Amino acid sequence: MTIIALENLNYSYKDGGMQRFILSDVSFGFELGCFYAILGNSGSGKTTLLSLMGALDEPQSGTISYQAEDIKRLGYDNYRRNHVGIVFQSYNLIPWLTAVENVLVAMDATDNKLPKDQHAVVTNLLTFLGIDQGKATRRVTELSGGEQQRVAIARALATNVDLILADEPTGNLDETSSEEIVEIFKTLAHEHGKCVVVVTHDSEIAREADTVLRLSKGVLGVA
Amino acid sequence: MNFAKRAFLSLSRRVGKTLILFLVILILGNLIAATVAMRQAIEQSEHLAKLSLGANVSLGQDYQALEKVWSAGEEPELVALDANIIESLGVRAEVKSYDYTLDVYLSARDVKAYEPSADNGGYAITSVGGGRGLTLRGIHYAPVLLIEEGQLELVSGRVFSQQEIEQGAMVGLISDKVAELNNLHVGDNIVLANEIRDYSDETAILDGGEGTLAETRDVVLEVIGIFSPKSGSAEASATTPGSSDQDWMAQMLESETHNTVFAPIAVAQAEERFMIDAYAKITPDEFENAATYDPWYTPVYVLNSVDDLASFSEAAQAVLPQYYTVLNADSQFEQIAGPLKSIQSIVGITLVASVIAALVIVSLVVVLFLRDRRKEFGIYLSLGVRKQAVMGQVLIEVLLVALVALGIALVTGNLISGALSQELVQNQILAAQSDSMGISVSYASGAANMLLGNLTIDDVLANYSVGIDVPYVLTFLGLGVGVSVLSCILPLLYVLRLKPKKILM
Repeated sequence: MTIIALENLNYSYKDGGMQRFILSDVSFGFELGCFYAILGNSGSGKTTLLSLMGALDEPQSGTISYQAEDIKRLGYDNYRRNHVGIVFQSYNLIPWLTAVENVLVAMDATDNKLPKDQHAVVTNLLTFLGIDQGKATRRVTELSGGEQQRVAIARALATNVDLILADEPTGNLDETSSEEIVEIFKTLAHEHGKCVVVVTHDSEIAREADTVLRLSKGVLGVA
Repeated sequence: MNFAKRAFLSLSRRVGKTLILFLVILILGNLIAATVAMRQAIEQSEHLAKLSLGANVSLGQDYQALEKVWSAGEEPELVALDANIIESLGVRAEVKSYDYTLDVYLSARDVKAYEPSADNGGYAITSVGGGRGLTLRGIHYAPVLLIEEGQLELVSGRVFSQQEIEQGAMVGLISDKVAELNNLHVGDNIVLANEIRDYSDETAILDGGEGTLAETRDVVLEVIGIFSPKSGSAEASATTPGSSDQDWMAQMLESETHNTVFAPIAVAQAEERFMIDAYAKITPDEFENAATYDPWYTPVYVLNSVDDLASFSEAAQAVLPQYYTVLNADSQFEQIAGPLKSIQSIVGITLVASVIAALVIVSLVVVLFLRDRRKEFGIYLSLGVRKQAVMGQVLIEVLLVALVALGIALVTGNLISGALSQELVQNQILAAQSDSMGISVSYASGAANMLLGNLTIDDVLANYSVGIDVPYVLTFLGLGVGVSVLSCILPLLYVLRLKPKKILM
């Protein structure tokens, strides 16, 4: 089932008086239960594509549909709040909050129906992702890079969304942590039926993905 | 975790920045609190002073206007107040009761006048000619305004009847001190002497200074009542020894009060007429208009309330002859406590400046802090947290810090204001009093003097008190919270303009 569909997406910006086209008529449908990797060189527009899919930015033309509904009509804030979880390369956690509190921020924002005992849900989620209770109550600045990325993934999952977008999620991690994070994504896709889209230039991740897409000169295609 | 809890956690876990914001608001809060407290204290002092002076009005000569004419080398043409003008103002709606009096100075040849005790810090008050005299005060208002208004107390006998006033009956009220000195009681007669002395012979003046007795006639009045000044009036204020001009004034007033004999106005008019006619014979050049001489009445109006002062003054000023003015508690307050007004004006400007400074400084501090938290806000927005919630968090953070800081500033600012301003106010008033020495000011005379009250610097300073009361708390907290909320507008606009992609990717 297609959870998110891109249709004729175009995105460009002015660079020193020249119009630079990043995405040209990009169209693709992403399915639930699949782990996607989008590859591309630096500056190829991978991050831009992910920010459009995460409604952090707006395409100049074309549509992005979530479950067949244009996300513009859904409302970008509403879409981010209730339908997508985003994992960033630099984790983007709030430094003065604990791991549990960081996840609770997202849970407070969403309108999705969540279990009442949110604290227990978060603790279980973090345990599932390899963060024990002792670390869960520490400020995130006291955790390692791999652990912080796990907290970021927990935050993306906590609102019970079906679509997980990750921008270079292993870019700041060592090899072991990277492998563990990739395993988590695979599990989420294959065992929990989520759609996981990872933007990366790491070919190791690409090898683990169900579908590898390549973005080159503004065109997205299956590798 | 909702935004309110996040706000609380943000404050408690980012202690350094919270402390900086707290100190900024505390310092500015103290400045605002001190100025608000001072402003309130000045307003309170003015209010209490005016209340103590009451809503009584007299009409008298405007010495400030006259001073200008005199200093220009001109001789102003002064006229007596027409009784018709006095009476027309007396029937106005603002007036509760009124009187107009005529004072005639008579010799106490056969009676002893009251002298303030020198042992009691009193001043020796000697009348013209070296002897003591009594003032015959002719009044128009039968119940005696000073008794009705509580300045004097009738300790024995009665006041006048309307018939006695209208017919000019030879009856009078004397003070308890004069009664005691002369062993006089209600029903007895007091004999005053209307002595006309001739000072045209220079040798007579040099020989003891009393001139020669040209004419005399006895003024025999039946004592129908005996009065005593009430505590808190002239006598009471005069019993506190001191060295200031105000003590001297109080002694004068005390002596004048005790040595006053109240009688129907026709009695005073007749005695004044006798004097004018007699002097016209001695020095006809100086009294060429004796036949048409008008009595110089002193009117006193008791108004219904202090709020009536403005409208009555306006009406009176419209009908008064040139060089006359309305004398009331306001004018007395302006003369004595005028410097408070200038301090109040400075304090007002300081208050406005501090509020503006606080707005700018707190806004800048909050903006700077929010710039440091740009990424945090970007994260909230990427998670779909509503902008209202982000703004709510900022507002709560600033308000929580502000409330604690303002709560402390409420007390400390008051203490600072109390410590600094009492002396400032005192010095300002004393400096202004010193500067104004020698400048003529308009004071009421006779009965009006007592009714218009006797405001002193000590009264004003005693009423000046910096304290914590409801108006102060409300004004200060209103200003403080208002400044804090307004200071968040600029930072909140900054939050509204944030784009998560630009911050995070």
